[in-house]
Amino acid sequence: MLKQYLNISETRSGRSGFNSRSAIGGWARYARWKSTCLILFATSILLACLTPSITFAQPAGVRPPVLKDVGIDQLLNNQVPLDLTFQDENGKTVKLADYFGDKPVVLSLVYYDCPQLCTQVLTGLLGTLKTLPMTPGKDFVSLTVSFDPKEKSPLAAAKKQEYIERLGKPEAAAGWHFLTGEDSQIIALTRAVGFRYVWDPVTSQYAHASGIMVLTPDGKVSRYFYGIEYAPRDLRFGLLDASAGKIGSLADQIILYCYQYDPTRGTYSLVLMRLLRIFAVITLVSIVGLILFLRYQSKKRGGGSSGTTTDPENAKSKIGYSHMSILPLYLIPFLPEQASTFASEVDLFFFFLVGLTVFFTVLIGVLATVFMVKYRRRSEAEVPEQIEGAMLLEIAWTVIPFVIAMGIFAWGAKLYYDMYKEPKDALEIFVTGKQWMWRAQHPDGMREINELHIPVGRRVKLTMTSEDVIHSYYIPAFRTKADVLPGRYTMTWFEATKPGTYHLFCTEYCGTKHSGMIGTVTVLEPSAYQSWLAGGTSEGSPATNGQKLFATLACSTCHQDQNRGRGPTLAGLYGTSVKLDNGSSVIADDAYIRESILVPNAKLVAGYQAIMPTFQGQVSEEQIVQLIAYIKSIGPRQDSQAPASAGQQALPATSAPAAPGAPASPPVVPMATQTKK
Amino acid sequence: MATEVLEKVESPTTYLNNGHTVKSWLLTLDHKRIALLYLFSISIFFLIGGIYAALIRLELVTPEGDLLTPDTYNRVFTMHGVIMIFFFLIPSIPAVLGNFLLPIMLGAKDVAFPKLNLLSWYIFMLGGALMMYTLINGGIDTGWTFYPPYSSIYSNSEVTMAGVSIFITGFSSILTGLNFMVTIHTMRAPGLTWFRLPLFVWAHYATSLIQILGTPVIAITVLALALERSFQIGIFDPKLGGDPVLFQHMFWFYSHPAVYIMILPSMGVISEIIATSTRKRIFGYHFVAFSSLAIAVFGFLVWGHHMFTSSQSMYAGMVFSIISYAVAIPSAIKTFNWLATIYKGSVSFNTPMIYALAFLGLFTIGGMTGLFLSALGLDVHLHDTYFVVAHFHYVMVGGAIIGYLGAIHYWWPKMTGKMYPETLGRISAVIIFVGFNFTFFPQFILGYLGMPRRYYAYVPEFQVLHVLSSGGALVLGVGFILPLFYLTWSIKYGKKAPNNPWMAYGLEWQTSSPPPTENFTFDPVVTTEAYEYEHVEEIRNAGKSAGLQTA
Repeated sequence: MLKQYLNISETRSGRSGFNSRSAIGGWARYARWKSTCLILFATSILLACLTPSITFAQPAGVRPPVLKDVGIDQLLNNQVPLDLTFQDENGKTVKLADYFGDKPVVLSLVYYDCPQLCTQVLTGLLGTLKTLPMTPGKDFVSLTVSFDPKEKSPLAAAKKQEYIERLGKPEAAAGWHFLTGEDSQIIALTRAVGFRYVWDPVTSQYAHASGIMVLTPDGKVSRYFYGIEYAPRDLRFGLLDASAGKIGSLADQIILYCYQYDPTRGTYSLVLMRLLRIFAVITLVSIVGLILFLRYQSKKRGGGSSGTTTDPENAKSKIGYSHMSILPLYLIPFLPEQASTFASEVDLFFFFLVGLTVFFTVLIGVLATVFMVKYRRRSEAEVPEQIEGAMLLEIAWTVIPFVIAMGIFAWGAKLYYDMYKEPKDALEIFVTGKQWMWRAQHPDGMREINELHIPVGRRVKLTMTSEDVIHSYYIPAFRTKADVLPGRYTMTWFEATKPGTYHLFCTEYCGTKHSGMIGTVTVLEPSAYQSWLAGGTSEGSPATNGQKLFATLACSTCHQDQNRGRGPTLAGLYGTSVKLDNGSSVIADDAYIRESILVPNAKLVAGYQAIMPTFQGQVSEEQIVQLIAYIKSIGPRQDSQAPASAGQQALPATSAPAAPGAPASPPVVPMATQTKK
Repeated sequence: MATEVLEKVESPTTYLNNGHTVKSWLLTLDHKRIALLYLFSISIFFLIGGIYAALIRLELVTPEGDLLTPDTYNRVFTMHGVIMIFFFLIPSIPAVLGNFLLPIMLGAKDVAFPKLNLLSWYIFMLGGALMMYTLINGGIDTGWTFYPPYSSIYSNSEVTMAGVSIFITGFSSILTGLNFMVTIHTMRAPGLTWFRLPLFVWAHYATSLIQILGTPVIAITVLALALERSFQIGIFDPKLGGDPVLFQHMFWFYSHPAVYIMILPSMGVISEIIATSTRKRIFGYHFVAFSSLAIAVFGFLVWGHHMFTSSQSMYAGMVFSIISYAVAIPSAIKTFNWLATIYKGSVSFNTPMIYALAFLGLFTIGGMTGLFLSALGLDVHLHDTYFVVAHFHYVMVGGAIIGYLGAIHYWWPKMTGKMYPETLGRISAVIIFVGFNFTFFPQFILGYLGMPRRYYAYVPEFQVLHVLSSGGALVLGVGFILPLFYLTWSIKYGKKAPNNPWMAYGLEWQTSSPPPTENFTFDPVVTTEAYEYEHVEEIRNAGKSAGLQTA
C-alpha cells in the first residue's frame, strides 16, 4: 500500500512542474525524496504512537486461610471431560457430551437445597437470562449441576420447573438442564473447572464460592463470572467469545472487539487502546481510499478525449458545479465573486466550516454563560462538590472532534487534489514573476504584463517561475493560488466560469512594492479571446522565438542532428528517458531541460563530455521557456533515433505544446529548417 | 486597626525590600527578582511592538499608501512581528510568571540553576539590545518569516544583525527551558508527586520541552541565512545552488512549535484561574495535563501546513494536514474540560476569571479557524491572506496575551503584595475583549474576500472592513494602556494584599504576599492532591466567621 503511495509521488514529481526538481545542484535528488521521507517519517511516528498497549496489573491473589479450600481457580482453556455421566431432571442418564458440540455452555455449580448463596446464583443467572437477547437452547446451553451427590433428579425437576416459570420463556426448557450425579463425576467436573467447595460440618452446609462459567462448544473453560449478579453485557460477550464467532451478529463482534475480558475481575472492560487502534485503522484506510478514489477519478476525467468543450465528462462536471452554485450561498454577505469551477466548491466547504465553528462557539458560549450564572458564588464560604472527571465524557470529546476533523481533512484533501493535479487538455500559459510585475506569455506568442486574458469555459494551466524572489499567484475569484519560486517551475490551473475582470494579487511578500504587484485577470468569451489574440502584436510563438535563440546562442554547433555533434541531439528528446553517465536515467521534462541549460554538468548524458558552458545569466526565464518550447516542437517522434522507452508512456498528454482545438496553431518546425542552420 | 497592629508586629522581610540598590537587582539570583526584570523588559518590548501595530492600523485606514512609504511600512510590520513574537510572546508567561511561580509552586527556594537564570536574562537583554540597534538602523523589511532569497540576497536592511539578535535570544529561551525542566524534575517538595503538580507546572514542562528541542533549529536556520547573506554560501538561494523551500521547512519546524511555546503556558494559567474562581478541581486533571504534552509532541509534526501552496509535494501536504487535525484534539479536550470544571462550581467574577472566560471564547474561535487553514483545499484560497492574520491574532492575542494579562492580575497580589483596583480591572478586561473582536473579526472577512497580507495599499472595496479594524485597534489600545497605569499605580497606592486573596489552593498562596527571599518560612510538605478545595483554610475560616455573624 505504502509502495503504491510512493510510486504516485514519484511519477508526479517526474513529470509535473509543480513539484519539479530544483534546477540547480544537488538539491535535485533531495527534492525528489523529500516527500517520500516526510511520508515515511510521519507514518512511522503515527504507528509508533499506536503500538504501546495497556497491560493490566495482575494482583497476586491472597486468600484467607479459613477459606483455603473454597474458591474458584481460573483454569482458562482447561478441557472438561465430556464423558462424565449425570442424571438429568427426568432421571435419565446423560453424558456431558450430549450438551456440547455446537453451542457454548453456561455452567452453574450449585446445590439445590442450598439455603442462600446458590439460590442467589441461580436468581442472578435468571435475571441475566431474562434480559439477554439470546435464548438458552437456541444460542447456548445452560447447565446447572448440583455438587451435592445426595441430591437426586426429582428435586432437580422441581427446581427446573420453578426457574423456567420465573424466566417466563417456556421454550428455554429445552436449553436449561438441571443435573445431579455421583460423587466421582461431580469431583471430576468441579476439578476441571477449578471450582472448590467443602462440607462444613458445623453448619451442615457446603462452603463454596459463587460464580458461573462459560464453556466453549468443545468443552473448554472460556470465561468466569464471579458473584451473584452477572451483567448481561458481560455474559453476552463471554458467550460470543466462547462460540468463537459462531453466534451473534456482526455488530456484536465489532462491539466485542472494543472490550477485553479482565480475568482478575471477571468482567469485560472497554479497551481504550483497541478503540484508538480502530480509529487509527479507519483513518489510514480512509486516507488510502481517498487517494485511490482520487486517482481513479482523475484517470476517468483525463480519459484521453481531446476536445474540451465537447468532452461529455467535462460537460457533466460543469453541470455539477452550476448545481452547486444554486445553493443559496449568494445570500451570505461578503461573499467574494465566484468565477471558477473551484469557487463554489471552496465556498460550500468554507460555509460548512463556518457553520461548524458557529455551532461549537455557541455551544461553548451558551454552556459557559449558563454555568456561570447558575453556579455563581453565593457565599464566601462556599465549597462546591468536587467532581473528579468522567472517562466516558473524555472519550466522547476526544472521539467526536476527531471524527469531525477527519471528515474535514478528507473534504479538504479532495479539493486540494483537484486543484494541484495537472489538468488534461489545458491551455498552457507561461508566467514569470519578478519584482514587481507579472508577465504572461500565451502559446501563440502573445505577451502581457500584470494582466491575464483567458477564455471562459476552458481549462487554463499556468506554468510559473520567478526571476528573483518568491512570489505567489493568487486570483481570489478563482480561489486558486500557487507560490512562484525562482529556480523551479510551479503549476496552477483553473477553469473560469464567468466573463469579467478579476483581481490578481501577489500573496508572498516580495519587497518594497509587494502591494503593487497586482493586476487583473480578464475572462473573455472564446470568440472575444480569439479576437484579442488576433489584435495583439504577437512576436511569434515561443517555439519560433526559441528556434531563433537556438541559432543565436550557437546551440546548434554542438547539438547537431543524428548525434553528429559534440553534444547529444535534441530532436525527439522531450519526454523521453535520458541515460546519464552515473547510470541513472531521467525524464527529459521542462525542469530537466531548464537545469541542463543553466547547470549543464548537473546531469551529464552518458557518453558525452562535461564541456557545455553554463548559460546562467545569458538567458532570461522567458527565453529558457522559448528554448524548451522549441525543443518540444522538434520531438518526440520525428527522429527515428529517439529511443523508445518507458518514459514515453509516462508522458502526459498535456505536454503537447498546444491541445488540438486550441486557438493557437501548434508550432511545427520542419526538420529541414533545423538542419539547414 | 487590627491589621495595622499586625503589620507593625510582623514587618516582614520580603524579596522586594531585601536590598534596594541597583546592584541588588541587576546581580540578583532570586528567581522572583529576575522575573520582575523580565516583566519590566518585556513590557517595554510590548510597548514598542504596540506602537508598530498602531502605525500599521493607521496606514491601513485608507486604501492608498499615504502615511508611510512602502519601505517604511514593510519595516513596521516586520518589526511588529519580530518584537512581539521573539521579545514579548515567547518570554511572556514562562520568563515572568514561570520564573516567579514555578519554584514556589514546587515548594522550592529557587530554580535549579539560579546563576544560569540570571544569565538567561542577560542573554535576552543582549539579543534585545541588538534588536534595538537594528531598529535604530531602520529595522528589517523581510517579514518575521525571513523567507529567502528575499531575505538573503534582495533585502536592503539589517537582516544579518536581526538574525544574530534572534540567534542570541534563542539561547535565553533554551536555558530557561532547561532550568525549568531540571527544577520540575528535581526540586519538588516532599509529597509533591507528578500528579499533584498544578497544571500550570505541567504546561511549563511541555513548554520547556519545545524550547529545548525546537529553539536550536531556528538558531541553525538564521545562522545559515546569515552565512548565505554575508558570504554567498549557497543554502537557500537557487542562484547559488540552494533551495528556498528548505528554509521554509527549517523555519517552520521551529516556528510552528513556537506557537505552542506561546499558548501552552497561557493554557496553564487558565487552568489555575478557573480552578480558583470556581473552587473546583480541574475536571479530568490527567487529560488536561497529558494534552499539554500531546500538544508539545504533535506540534513538532505539523510544520508543513504553513506550506500547502509552496510547491511541496501534494501528498506531503496531506500528511501534514491530517497531523494538524490530530494536534487540534488536545486543545479541544482542554476546552471541554475547563467548561466541565465550571459546571456546578462556585463561580466568582473577578478580573482574572473575566480574562479566563474571554480566553475560552477567543481561543475557541482561534482554534476553530485553525481547522479552516489546515483544510488543504480551503487553505489554498486563505493562505497568506488576512484570514491567516486574524486566525493567529485570535490565538496569540486572544489566547496568549489574554492569558498573560489574566495571570498578571491573578498573581499581582502575590508578586507585589498589593491589590490592583478590581473595578478598573474588570472594565479594562471588557474593553480589551470588545476592542479585540472589533479589530480582528473583520480581518477574517477581509481574508476570505481575498485581501493579501503585508499590503500597504489595497483595493478600495476593502476599506470599510479596514476602517472597522483600525477603530477596534484604538479601543484595544486603550484597553492595553489602562492596566499599565493602574497596575503601576497600585504598586504604591494599592490596598495591601492578604496572603491568599482568592482563597485559592496552591503552595504559592500559603506563603506571604510578597514572599520572602527564600519563598517559605517553613518547609512545605504536600499531602493532598492538586486543587483540593475542601482543604483551603481561608474558605473554612470564611465559613466560621460567616457562621458567627449569622449566630
